Amino acid sequence: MSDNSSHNDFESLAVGYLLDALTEEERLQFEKMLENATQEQLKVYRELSHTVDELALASGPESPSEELEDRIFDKIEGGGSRDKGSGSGMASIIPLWTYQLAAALLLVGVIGFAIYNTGVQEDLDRQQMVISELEQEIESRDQLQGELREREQKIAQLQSELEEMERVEDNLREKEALVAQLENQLDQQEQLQQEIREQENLVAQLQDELDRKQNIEEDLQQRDVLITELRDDLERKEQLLNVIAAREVKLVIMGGLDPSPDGYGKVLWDSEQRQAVLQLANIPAPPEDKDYQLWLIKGEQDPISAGVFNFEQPSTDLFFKVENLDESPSEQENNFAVTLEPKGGMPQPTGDMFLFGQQN
Amino acid sequence: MNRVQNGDAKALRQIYGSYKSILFGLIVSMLKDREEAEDCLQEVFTQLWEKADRFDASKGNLYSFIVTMARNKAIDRIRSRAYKDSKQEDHTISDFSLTPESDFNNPEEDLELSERANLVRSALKKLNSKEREVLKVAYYGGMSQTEISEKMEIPLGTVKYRMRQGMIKLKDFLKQDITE
Repeated sequence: MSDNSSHNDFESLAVGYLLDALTEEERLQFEKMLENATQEQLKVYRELSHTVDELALASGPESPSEELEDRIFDKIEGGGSRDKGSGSGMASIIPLWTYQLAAALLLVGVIGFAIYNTGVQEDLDRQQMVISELEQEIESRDQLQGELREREQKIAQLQSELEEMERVEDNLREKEALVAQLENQLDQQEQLQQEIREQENLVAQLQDELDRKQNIEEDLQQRDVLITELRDDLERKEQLLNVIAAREVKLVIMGGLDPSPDGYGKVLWDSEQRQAVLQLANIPAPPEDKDYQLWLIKGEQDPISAGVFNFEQPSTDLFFKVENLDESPSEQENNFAVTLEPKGGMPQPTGDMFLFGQQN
Repeated sequence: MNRVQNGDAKALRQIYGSYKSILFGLIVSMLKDREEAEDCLQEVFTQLWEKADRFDASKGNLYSFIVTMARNKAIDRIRSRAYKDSKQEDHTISDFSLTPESDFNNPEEDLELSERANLVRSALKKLNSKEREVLKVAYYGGMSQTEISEKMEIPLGTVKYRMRQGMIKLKDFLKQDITE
């Protein structure tokens, strides 16, 4: 609002001009504007001018005094000066010479007026020509202004199209960049997928190797078990051979009793070295919570435990080393018996007797 | 007006009858002095008689011609230094939108003027008070935009803006009212 120049457009100046509120400089500026005004501006000017005229109606009517009308018309009708003609005639008595003088003056006047009129007519013709030329100039200027406006509009339109194209190009470039970015991401994704596939293959290979290794380990464990079994068997057989190789070996043959009549057993006893070997045959495998227990019974004495024994499959060649036979044989009578006892054995026999034999 | 141009004082008397109230109302509103206003109105009609040939019907109607002449005469008086010296301090201006409805009671008054006066008042009421105030001071006070800026203590740009907006709106309202 404070920028004065921004308020000096055609409409602002027209309003100020019509209200007689402009400075001298602004008034001249607007009159120049008006000379070059477009039809549209002239229309606005005429409408504003009409509006200003209409404002007089808003003030409200007031009646002037009756005398005023008389004063005005007395002055006018009573010979008030006027540029063009006068009102009523003047009736009075005038001397004849006055009429003659007036006639002469009238004649001179008529002649003078005729001459003057010719000159005026020429002036008027010249002015009419100048006016025609000016009108033509104005018309051609209006036409040129019209063309200029059309061109300006075209230029503006082209500029706007150009801007639109630039915007489209920018958009395209942005989209291309986006597509390139997406392609890169896609490539990276494919590389990642390839790497994942390779790693999956590697994992599968490792898994295979692990499986093989586990198989080998299981195989090794089985072999270890077999070796242990073989070693135990070998050890037992070595002990058996040691017992058999002794100078004096006592052989006690045990026969099967009621629970297992087909069963039999042998005890090879190296009493000198206090070691023995037990063979069990045709008796059933003990239940899970039970063991077979070997007893040495010297004459009338209480049975002496010679250890507990266990096996899973009944067989005819089950040989066991008797670890706990730290006894010397009786001079009179040595008996061996095998009973089924709770797991771990008992101090004295409690269960069924499966085998029994007497030293001869 | 053709008859006046041909020297017919009766025709001028008819014009006087038609326009005296509206012209006198306008001049009184501007000068705030009935005696001064009568002098001014006399001057207007004397000049209308003497300069009747200046009226060109192709350039505008008689109403516009005569109202413009009356307002210019009143502004001349307002702006004369003697007038300013004597009246400036008491320059109260009535709000034209608040003027009572038209009371043309002279049978010679044109009924159309009365209707138009009502339209103008109604259009003025639609303006905001700031725009109306600036137009009022400019139209009745005969003040320039610079003088209004100083008197009302508002920036010159604001005066110009309000004056422009007020007149454009008024023009549009009047156009609307006429088409309605």
